[in-house]
Amino acid sequence: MTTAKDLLNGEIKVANLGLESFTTAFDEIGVTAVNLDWRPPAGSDTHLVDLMLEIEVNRDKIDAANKQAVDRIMKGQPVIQAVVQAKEVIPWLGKHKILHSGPPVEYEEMCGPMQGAVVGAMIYEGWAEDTASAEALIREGKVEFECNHHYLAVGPMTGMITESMPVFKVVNEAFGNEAYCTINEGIGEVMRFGANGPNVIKRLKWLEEVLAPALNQAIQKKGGINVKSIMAQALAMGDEMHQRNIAASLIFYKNIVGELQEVINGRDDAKDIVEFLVSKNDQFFLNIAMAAAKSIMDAARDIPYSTMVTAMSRNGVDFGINISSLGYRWFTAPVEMPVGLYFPGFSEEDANPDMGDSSITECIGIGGNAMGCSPAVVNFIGAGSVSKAVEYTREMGEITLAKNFNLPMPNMNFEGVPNGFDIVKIVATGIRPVINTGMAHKKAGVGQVGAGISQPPMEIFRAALKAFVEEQLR
Amino acid sequence: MSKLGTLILGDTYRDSVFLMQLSSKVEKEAGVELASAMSGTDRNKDLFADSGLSTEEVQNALPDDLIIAVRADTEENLAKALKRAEELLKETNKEEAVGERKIERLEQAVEAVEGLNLALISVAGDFAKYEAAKAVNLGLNVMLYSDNVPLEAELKIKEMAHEKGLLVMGPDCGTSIINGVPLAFANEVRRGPIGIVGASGTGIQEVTVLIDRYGGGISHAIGTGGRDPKAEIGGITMLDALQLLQDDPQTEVILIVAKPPAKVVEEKISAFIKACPKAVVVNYAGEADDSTVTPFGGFYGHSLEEAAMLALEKAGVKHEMPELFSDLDCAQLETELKALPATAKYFRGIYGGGSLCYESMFLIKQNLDLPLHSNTPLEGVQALADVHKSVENLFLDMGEDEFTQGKPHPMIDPTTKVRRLIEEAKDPEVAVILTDCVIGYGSYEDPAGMLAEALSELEQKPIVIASVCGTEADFQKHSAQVKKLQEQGVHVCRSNREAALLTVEVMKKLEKERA
Repeated sequence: MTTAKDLLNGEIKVANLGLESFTTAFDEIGVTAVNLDWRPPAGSDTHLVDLMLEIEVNRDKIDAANKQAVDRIMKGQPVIQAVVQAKEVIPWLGKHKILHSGPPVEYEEMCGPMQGAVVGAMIYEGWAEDTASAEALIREGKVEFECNHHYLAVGPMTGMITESMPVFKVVNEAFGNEAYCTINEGIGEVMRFGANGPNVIKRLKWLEEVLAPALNQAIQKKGGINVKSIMAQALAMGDEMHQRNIAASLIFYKNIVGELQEVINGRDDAKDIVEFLVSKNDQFFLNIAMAAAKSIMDAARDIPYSTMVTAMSRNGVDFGINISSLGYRWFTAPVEMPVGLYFPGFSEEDANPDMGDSSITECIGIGGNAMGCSPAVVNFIGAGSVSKAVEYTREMGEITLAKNFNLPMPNMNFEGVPNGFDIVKIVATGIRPVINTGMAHKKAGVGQVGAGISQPPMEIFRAALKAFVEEQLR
Repeated sequence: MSKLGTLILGDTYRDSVFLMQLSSKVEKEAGVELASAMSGTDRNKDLFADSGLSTEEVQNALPDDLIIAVRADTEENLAKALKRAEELLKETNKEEAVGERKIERLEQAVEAVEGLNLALISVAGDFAKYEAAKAVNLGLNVMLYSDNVPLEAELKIKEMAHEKGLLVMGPDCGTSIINGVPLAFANEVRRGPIGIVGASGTGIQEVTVLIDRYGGGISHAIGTGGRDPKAEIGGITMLDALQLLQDDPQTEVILIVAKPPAKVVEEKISAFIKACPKAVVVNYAGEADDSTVTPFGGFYGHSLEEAAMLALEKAGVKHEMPELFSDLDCAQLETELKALPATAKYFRGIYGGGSLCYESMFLIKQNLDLPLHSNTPLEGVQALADVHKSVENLFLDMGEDEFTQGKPHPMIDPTTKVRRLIEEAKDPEVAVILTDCVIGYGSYEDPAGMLAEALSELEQKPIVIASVCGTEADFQKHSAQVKKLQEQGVHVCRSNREAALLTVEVMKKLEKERA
């Protein structure tokens, strides 16, 4: 740390912001100077700049709080301890109770795929026989909805969790808190994209009755599986673990292969189980990554003065964020359409707005933040080029609080993934988080139509910043 | 019927000087009557409206849009001018595309340059306060050239800096020299044992230039910004700077130049003078009373020149000050005086340097019993009702806000100042024009040349008195600037003080003559 005394006694080194002509003198007499390509902060919004000045005045305590918050992310040790029925770990669940992704939303407001998934979940649980009887129950006010995040849970896309569904139970051993996520259903006609036909229900029942008990036994035999070490290895193998999970899924299987073999050896369904885990679903690990990320982020909640984002989530209508110092208060705005590539036969007109809790992965530094280390995902999500992907990762470094050296990116000189989004940096720079996402068809049940990049609307960070200054600093 | 057209570019930023240059280039295009390029802030939208360049597109623009508005005689010329504007913008884009990763923010600069220790900030005040606070938090000293920084923000930023042992020079700080490095408007002066703390930009320039001219040198010159010695700020920077100079091994003599500080601050300075083992010389502009300095063991200079000479003396530099007016052609002055038309009876002081204007006003008020007017009045001077309309005897500080809205400071571009000076020169009631000419880093490349050329076109002119604030080592070269003015019959004095006192003499003689 320099002081004014050093300035008078030593070599002067200048950053110039504004009139470029002031650097003429520096060039002439050989003073080290950098002329900034300055542009007004916060999109030239002077009211926001006034708030940011208040933040600078309180910088020391905010920095201390944010350091604590991001240290908690980096110290997180998520371990899969079991696969259990949701009602065992989420006591709120029961008859006619449904958890969904994103910030809170009522049935009438939900997008098509989420409504389709709700109906599917009710048929799956045996509360209704078809769409008509399900909607009748909802109309009568007999069905309660809550969002996953409020119950230590997360779910991809529509994110349905009901009482009988099996979930991964992940414990963050560094802090003792738990988090849950359902098992990935695979590709094609699936509930997370809003499908609710007989095949969807059948597969969910198979997950509940066949796969989940087998997986749980294998995990019990193993004594738990450390998720972070899988993540670190998968990064080195080119996964960013949001839209690409092929390596991570295989490493997960590698971790339990012996134990699972002992559990299912000689059974008729052994082949189905192994195929489901290993060859039929490259995104299997995503749900594990999400539960792990949720357990990590929840440990960083409720730190006074922290401006770190603790959750980013979408319900297909709104995008919502939580801030560490502001608890479970949601800052929401209409969610944007993802930008990316469509599978053959689909176009932007078919796509549903961005959806799901999976953007919790970006909060811990994987997904979009780690794109630079995942060259293979670039074409899938239409990022343009590998160098563009590296640029995304660098940009995420501008709006995050630290680099997580426990999750190094080998091709980027083993730099850690940038983690811990800071609303102040986001508002100041105008750079928004980048989320690698799948795109759902807007009609319930059609499934995935493409993949791409989505970004939270800027206004939610601005609103959160205003609330932070008003509630924490005044 | 002229045609109005606009070009709105989303998310585009250029600095204000670049935009002013762009608009003046576009204005030179055929058929263009008016052109203006600014960002879409509410303040700027009002400016567009004031100059009749506002359209619906302008009113709907976002704050970070760049707006170019043009009025031309025909649709064809309008289209050409807008195209030209777009080309001019792209020219710089090309330059930016070449080279390394852009450094857009202070955080990036700190990472890129090891040992970075100063931020020189001249962006708009609305943003400058935030950038300054951020710089302090990043461990940087700050030179804050920008004005329009609210008082409470200045106080907060200075308190933060003080706590961290950092210096915030400004806001509205035009001049500093740290270890020989000129910041913003400063002259190329010799290094030496005299350390300066100044709450005024051109005040610092005048004393450093005079010290240099008479054989002395400067260790550091630390600007504080004009409001620092006020009670609300409490002289935080000034007192920190004084302590730094007291501890600085290069500094033997300390020189303070400022407007009279608030009482609480003045008392602290008195206490500093008393305790300081080094000689302390003070000039409080417009203050004749030395009772807060001399009784405490300090030395009081009644003008910038006198203070500079006292500092030289205390630093042990032998110098001989010529008698007042001894270098001037007094016979010629007499002739000019006699040749003035009978209507000529007033003087007009047209200044670019605020502190120089203030000093002249003080000296003339002290020595002449005449009604005075100014846009920056001292006590006893009348405030000017309309700054664009001259009355009687007048001092105009053209570096003030009312003249610099959307236009460069007269030290950067003297066009407006010269235009006003020529208007005054054509006024048959004007007998004397008094002006300054500040050179050095940051200043216009040839201010004397611009004035000389304008004067050469006049068939008849009043007596013109000036001083050139600068050194031989400045890139405009003091002697060359003096010569250009002298060739047009300007009486060039050695200092701002001498110029003011010469005006006093001439006005007295004129009074006698008229009587």
